[in-house]
Amino acid sequence: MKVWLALEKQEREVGGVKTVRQLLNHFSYKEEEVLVINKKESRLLTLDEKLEKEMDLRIIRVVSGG
Amino acid sequence: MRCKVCREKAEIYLRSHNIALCRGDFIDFFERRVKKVIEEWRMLTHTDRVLVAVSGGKDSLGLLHLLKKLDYNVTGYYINLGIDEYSDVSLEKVKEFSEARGISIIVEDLRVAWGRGMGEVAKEVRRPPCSLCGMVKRYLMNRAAGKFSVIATGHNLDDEASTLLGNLFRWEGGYLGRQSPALEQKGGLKKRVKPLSFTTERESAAYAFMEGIDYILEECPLATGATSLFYKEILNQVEERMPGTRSRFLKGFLDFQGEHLRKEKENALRPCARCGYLTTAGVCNFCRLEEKIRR
Repeated sequence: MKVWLALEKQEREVGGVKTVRQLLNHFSYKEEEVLVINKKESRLLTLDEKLEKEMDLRIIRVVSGG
Repeated sequence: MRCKVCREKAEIYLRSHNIALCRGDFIDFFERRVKKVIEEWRMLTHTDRVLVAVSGGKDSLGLLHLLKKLDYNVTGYYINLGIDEYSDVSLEKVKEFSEARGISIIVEDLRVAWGRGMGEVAKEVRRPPCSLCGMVKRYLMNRAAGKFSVIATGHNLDDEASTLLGNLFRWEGGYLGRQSPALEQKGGLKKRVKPLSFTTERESAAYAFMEGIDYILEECPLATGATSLFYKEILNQVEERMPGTRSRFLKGFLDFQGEHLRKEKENALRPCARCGYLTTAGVCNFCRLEEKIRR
């Protein structure tokens, strides 16, 4: 599936992950640090949500500094 | 995961509250909590003229959106800090946001006053950009708030908890005494409120997304390596192990502060000898900064 990392402004192709929780582990993100968006449906995904190959996802980092 | 309220498919799970919510119920949950904070801390009334500081980010634009939705008399205030492309993009976001919602915005440009942006000034005076930026923004906001009765900022629970942690590490008695979701007007200092003090950064980002707010996703380039980000990282680690700790940390402190730090709260703020802004020093930090960069 395609995953757009908003902060890094990079698109990655990710395989072998079945849930949002696994996706966050793949990128070493903590739950409190990000939101995962299903781009086509324009909705947020919870950690238990099952992922499919054709999904187009966005990961937004929510932590801001300063 | 199903929404705890309506059993529809959930869009967000809030670990610290142990609830999953759908979009409609999350928006309702978020707005009711902020409204409660505004009332409990007597932050705003509908007769107030509220100046809302906006940066183009999720918290400040979300706050301005919500206060407008709650029918408060709001005006936005944006400071162009002259941080290259980052400032241009954030100003664009603020303009698009305000035009779409019919909210007027006051824009101030640091480069007009100083001939250079925050990055250059921080290098010149050899101070960490974030602390310098915070001080300058607080000063300019207060100066711009002349005809307004309250200044509102989008500081969230993560900001407040990380500030508290930093102040505790350094035992900053004065700052600890004054850290509060609402500070009443004192002398030349306008009343300041932080209605998002008890909502997490993630909740704030989810609210902005669900309400269709197009905010700047990029991090300020000057904030790279900022101490506040490190404190947030620590707190997020703690939060993962013990959900709700961040909130208990801040709320517990505010209870403790009332009983033990009142003296510090009332400590020696006096008018700056040059501009009259309340400060603990003879001449305020902003005047000392201007003196340095105008030499």
